[in-house]
Amino acid sequence: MIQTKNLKKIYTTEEVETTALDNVNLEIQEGEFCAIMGPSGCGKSTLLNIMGLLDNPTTGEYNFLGQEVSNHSERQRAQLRKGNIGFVFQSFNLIDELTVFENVELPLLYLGVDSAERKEKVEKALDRMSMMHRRNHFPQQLSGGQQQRVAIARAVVANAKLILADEPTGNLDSDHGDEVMKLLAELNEQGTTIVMVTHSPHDADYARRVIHLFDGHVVTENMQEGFHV
Amino acid sequence: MFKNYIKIAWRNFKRDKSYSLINTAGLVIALSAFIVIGLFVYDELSYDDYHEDADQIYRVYKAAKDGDANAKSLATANLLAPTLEREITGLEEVTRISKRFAESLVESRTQKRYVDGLFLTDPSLFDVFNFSFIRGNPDTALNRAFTVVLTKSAARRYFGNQNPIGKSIWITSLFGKEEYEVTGVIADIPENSHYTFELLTSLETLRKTSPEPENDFGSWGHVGTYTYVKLQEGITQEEVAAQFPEFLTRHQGKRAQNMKMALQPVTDIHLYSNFRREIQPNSDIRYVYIFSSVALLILLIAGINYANLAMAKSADRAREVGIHKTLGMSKYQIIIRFLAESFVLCSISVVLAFCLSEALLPLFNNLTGKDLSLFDAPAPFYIILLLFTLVFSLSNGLYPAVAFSRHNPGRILNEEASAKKKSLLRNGLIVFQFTIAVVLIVSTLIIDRQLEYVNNKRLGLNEEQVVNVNAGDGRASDYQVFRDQLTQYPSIKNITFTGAQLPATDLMAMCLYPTGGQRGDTKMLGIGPNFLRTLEIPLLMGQSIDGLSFSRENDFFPVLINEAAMEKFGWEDDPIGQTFECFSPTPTVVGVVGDFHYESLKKEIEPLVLMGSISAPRNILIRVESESIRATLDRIEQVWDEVGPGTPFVYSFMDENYENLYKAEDKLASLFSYFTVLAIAIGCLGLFGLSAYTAERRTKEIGIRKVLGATVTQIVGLLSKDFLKLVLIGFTIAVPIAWYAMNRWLQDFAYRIEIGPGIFLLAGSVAVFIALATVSWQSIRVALVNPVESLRSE
Repeated sequence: MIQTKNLKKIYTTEEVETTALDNVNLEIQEGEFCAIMGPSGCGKSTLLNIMGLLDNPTTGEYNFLGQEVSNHSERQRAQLRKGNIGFVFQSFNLIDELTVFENVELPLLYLGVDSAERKEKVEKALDRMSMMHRRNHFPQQLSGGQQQRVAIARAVVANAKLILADEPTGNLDSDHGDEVMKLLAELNEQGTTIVMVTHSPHDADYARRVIHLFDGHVVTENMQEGFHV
Repeated sequence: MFKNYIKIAWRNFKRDKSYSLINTAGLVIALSAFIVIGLFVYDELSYDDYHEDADQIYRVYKAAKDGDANAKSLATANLLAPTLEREITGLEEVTRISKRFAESLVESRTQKRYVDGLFLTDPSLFDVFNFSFIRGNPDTALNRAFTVVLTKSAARRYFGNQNPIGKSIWITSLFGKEEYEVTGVIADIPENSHYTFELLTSLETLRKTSPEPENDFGSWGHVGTYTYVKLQEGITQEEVAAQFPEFLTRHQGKRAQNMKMALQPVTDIHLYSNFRREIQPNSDIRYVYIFSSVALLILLIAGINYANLAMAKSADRAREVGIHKTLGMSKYQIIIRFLAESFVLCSISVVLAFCLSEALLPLFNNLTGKDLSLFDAPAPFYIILLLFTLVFSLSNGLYPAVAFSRHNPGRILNEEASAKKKSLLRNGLIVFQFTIAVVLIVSTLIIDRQLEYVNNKRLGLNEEQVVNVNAGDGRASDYQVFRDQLTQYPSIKNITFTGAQLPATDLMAMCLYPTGGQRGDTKMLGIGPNFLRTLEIPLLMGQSIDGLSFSRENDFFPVLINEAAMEKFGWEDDPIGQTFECFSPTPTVVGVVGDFHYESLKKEIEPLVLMGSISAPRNILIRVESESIRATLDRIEQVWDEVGPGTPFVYSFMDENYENLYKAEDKLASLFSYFTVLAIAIGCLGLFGLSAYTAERRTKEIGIRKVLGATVTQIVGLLSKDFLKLVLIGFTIAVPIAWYAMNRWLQDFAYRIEIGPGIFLLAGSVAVFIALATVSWQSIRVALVNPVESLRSE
């Protein structure tokens, strides 16, 4: 599903050049649950952004679903992103002015799905996350764990093949964190590929594979034997 | 410490250049408008208040008791002043001004020129009004006939640097050409006077030149003089006016029942008096209100824009203030700091606004016909302005200052800003701005179209290619020689004359009424031979009066009437041969002409009687070929100088004279268009600020939406839609206001356009286009940002 070759990302400001990713070579198969770990500033989020087609690498190749996308324009990337990739963020990133239902509905709106089908899909996704009873609430009226569940519902509503999660439990207490991780694991069980950035070894235990980044380099990759279920 | 704040404020100003520029631009534009309009309003309100005891000076007027506005009259009898002085208690002085409205030719040995209107007055004028004498004695200057007092500029014009006292000037007026002795020179009359003049002659002159002085001075029927009184100290207007009813009954008998006499404060005349035959056209207090409101609104809008923009920057500032607080800055210091910043910005704006308004004043003066200058403005004007700046900068800085000084600066502004109440206020402001903008756009369009309509409406005569030569007293014999010489040239097509210039402003009405019909005045215009042919006015029935002459033996005076007269008098079937009463020999209708606009299109075409023979050729009308007008004019002038040596050649074009009727409206139209641009510019700044604020506030949301697949177009649409709604609400509010206001304005015109929906749609589209263009700039900018950036900034 994902293949990178000599992936490099350099941020340039007026005075300094910072190399965020340096020759990253990775391959992630469909159906994998992969965790990316490493200290702050090691390039985890940059890698996730490039994988999620939010950003282009400076050099190197990136192959997503069989397409070379490293030189795609913003428009092409947006097109490919829609329906294929779902995002889960540390700070949930729900829109405060929209209800739970409307938040989850957004990706479908941008895909041009008609209203009846949207309703059906949103309800299904909310049901799956046990959030149907909260469909008319606003994000601020929910607990952190509930908000993250809504965010996951939004990530899966369009049947994304890949979910990218950026420290999905970072803002949650351990109980809610576990709840969210279980949901992700369940999704993976059902066939969704998940790539997750995390600081927490506990969360990383849910993944089958852990990639360690340091200073923009992949330092180790290990397959986990007895991961959580 | 304060110096430090100012320094930091200045650095902040320089650091955020675009923010500072937008903010300063708004303030500068608003303050310039405020200064210029302030000068205008100050000037309008200061009319005639330079007279010592201005509050004791009044003008006497008569009015119908039932309050019919048209029945008010300023024209009083010459007899009124001496009678008031004798019989009414509480008056310190009474004086009269008689104005001859026609132009008079004034000549010294070296100079000659036409003067518009000639003032004849009592010596007591100088006891009532303060006109300071430079030479001569105010007590005696005007107590003889054929004496004249000049203003300083007039004295210089006619006599150069010589002492004019005792020297002669010659004035040719209705009374013929007379020699006058200069007996005084006074300072120039301030522009803010309800009447200005360059020379004053004595009312005694009228006694010597009038064909019937006994009537002029001894009868209540001969009216045409303005009477002014100065009350004794401590006496009120009411005390004097209370004596009027009895006074009227004593002198007017039964007629007094339907009539009242009243006093009008001299300082109110310029703004509150709009009677027929004012000495000079006055202004209207409504303009003062309109312009003051515009100035205040503009300032208000700029002020709120400032606060909006400050909030747009709140995220930045909150962090900065947070750091300052951690380091120990007190609440008080934070308030001072923000006020200092606001003060620096306002001060810079005031300085720039002074420069801008000085640059704009010539244009504004040109439009308003005033001579305003920043340097001539009196001290109170500057004190008011300084105070205003201070209050303005304080109130502008106060909201951000207090908000930031509160307990948790990081949260306050963000939270408060998103609160419904605040956004309602901001949205209300945008609605308000666009309401004003749309009203102004609609008004400008309607004024423009109405003016276009009156300028292009068929007048019933052909006013193009007609030269109007001012013939002064117009000696008939000279006219004939002039005509005979001119008609030899092929470039002269036709020539005629009239007794009053066309278009006329207030055509003479005479006691002409159809025999046996209803009594009342009918308008009368004296014409020369060839009148219909020269002006291409169609003759509908009968014959022209050319070649016919009046005869006392046959009691026959041939006249033409217009269609309006024929219809009003019910003569549609047999107009020819109908007669008028109250004039001898009996005016008899020989022909009917098509209606033509002899006055402004503000007035209906009223019944008009065209009479030959009786009028002196005061205005010679010459229809010329359209080619080589310049050469033709030179030829006319050459012949003029040969025929009438001594009288200056003063000419105008008839079509321009018609256009000039709407000069005041033209000025209004220009002022409106400038204010429209100004209101829109400031409205856009507000919108720009608010869209920047919204974009900043919604950065995260936009990032999320983009991550979820929204396109740039969708984002721009999302951000613009909300503003568009506000503009549409503004439009909806503006439509009835503009419709009502412009309908009222159009009532001034007897002939006017219909206000259709097209104008509103056009104005709405302009407003929407401008709003979208302003908002899109910000929306597109934000929509193009990589969502990674937006989400990181969160």
